[in-house]
Amino acid sequence: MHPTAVATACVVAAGSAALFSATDGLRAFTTEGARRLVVRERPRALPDPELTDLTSRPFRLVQHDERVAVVEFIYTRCPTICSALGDAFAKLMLRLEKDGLGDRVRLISISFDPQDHELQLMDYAKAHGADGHRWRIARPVSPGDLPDLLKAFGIVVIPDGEGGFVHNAALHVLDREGRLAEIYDLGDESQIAATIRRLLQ
Amino acid sequence: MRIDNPLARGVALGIVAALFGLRHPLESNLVTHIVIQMPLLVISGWLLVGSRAATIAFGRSNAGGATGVSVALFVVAFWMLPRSVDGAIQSAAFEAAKFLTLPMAGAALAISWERLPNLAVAVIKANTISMLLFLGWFYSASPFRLCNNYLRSDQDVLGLAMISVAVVLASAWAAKAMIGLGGSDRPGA
Repeated sequence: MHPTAVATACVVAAGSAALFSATDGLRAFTTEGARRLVVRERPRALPDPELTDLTSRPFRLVQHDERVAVVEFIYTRCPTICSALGDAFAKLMLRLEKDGLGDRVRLISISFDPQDHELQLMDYAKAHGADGHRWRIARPVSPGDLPDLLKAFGIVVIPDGEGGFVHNAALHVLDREGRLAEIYDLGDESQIAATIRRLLQ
Repeated sequence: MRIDNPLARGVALGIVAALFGLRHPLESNLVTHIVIQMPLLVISGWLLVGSRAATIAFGRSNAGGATGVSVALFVVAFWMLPRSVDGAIQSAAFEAAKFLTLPMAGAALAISWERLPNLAVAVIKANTISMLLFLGWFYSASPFRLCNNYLRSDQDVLGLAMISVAVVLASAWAAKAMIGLGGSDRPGA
């Protein structure tokens, strides 16, 4: 065989393999797509920082109490998407109540904004109907825990150029072991409810 | 295009060093990351090894430029993935890979260019234009953010920039092909 044919065949084989693996088998072309695919196939253990909603005792993200959890990341000044996230959680809470799963699921909204203090978190809770029990609006007790937490979830927060932030907003379902098991878009409440039922079985 | 001038290699090294030093400002913006930094890395690779000696040295395993063009094709395809662009910002390993593989793609093209059949050159040029037009349309038309590290509005600017580059390349190559402006870049072909 001509050396060029051998060399080209090697390049094509290696290049195809690299592209195949870099896209998880041609299934994920964006970081967000890959993040969802990877946790669905291999639920991911998470760090377990102490969280506080600033009104009651600190609590852990992972509780090992046989409940599943749904987590979203917010900042309270956010004019658009975080407000929609709040609405999505409100809708989800109603739906879970109706399905009789209300006391088997924890909803946690975590703020990544260091400017969110007690007042802001309480206002956000009031505005969206978080009861501070099943649904808590929280932030890490120690701000130093935040980067690791965001990294484990795969959340990237960037400035929006107008004093706020942009982030890959989504609803994150944690299984009963506290592992990140599924990631959904806003508006997928019925799928989330189905996933929760499956994880509770 | 053959570059046997040692000055070109000095310039190429200077460009790579400058791109490395300026990587944070250039990568803070989607357009400068993709339309300035990445092509300049390819060009500096071309300038670094685009010599007659290098073209001859790889001659036997690169007949017709097939191997070199394949290398360039896969490297460029990899860095067109939105995931890879995010990766370069979030991971030092990806960033190092980018600074290594994009100049490598340029070098591979440089030692292959004079060997390519005319038809292959035409196909590569036509594909470059159509790929830029498609990606330009895709980035600006997508309602989703394709990179977690950039704003949705950056994609509109990137789309416009890619389409502009495509128009400039198409005009320049058409002028060269039809009225012979600019002369041949492949004296050996």
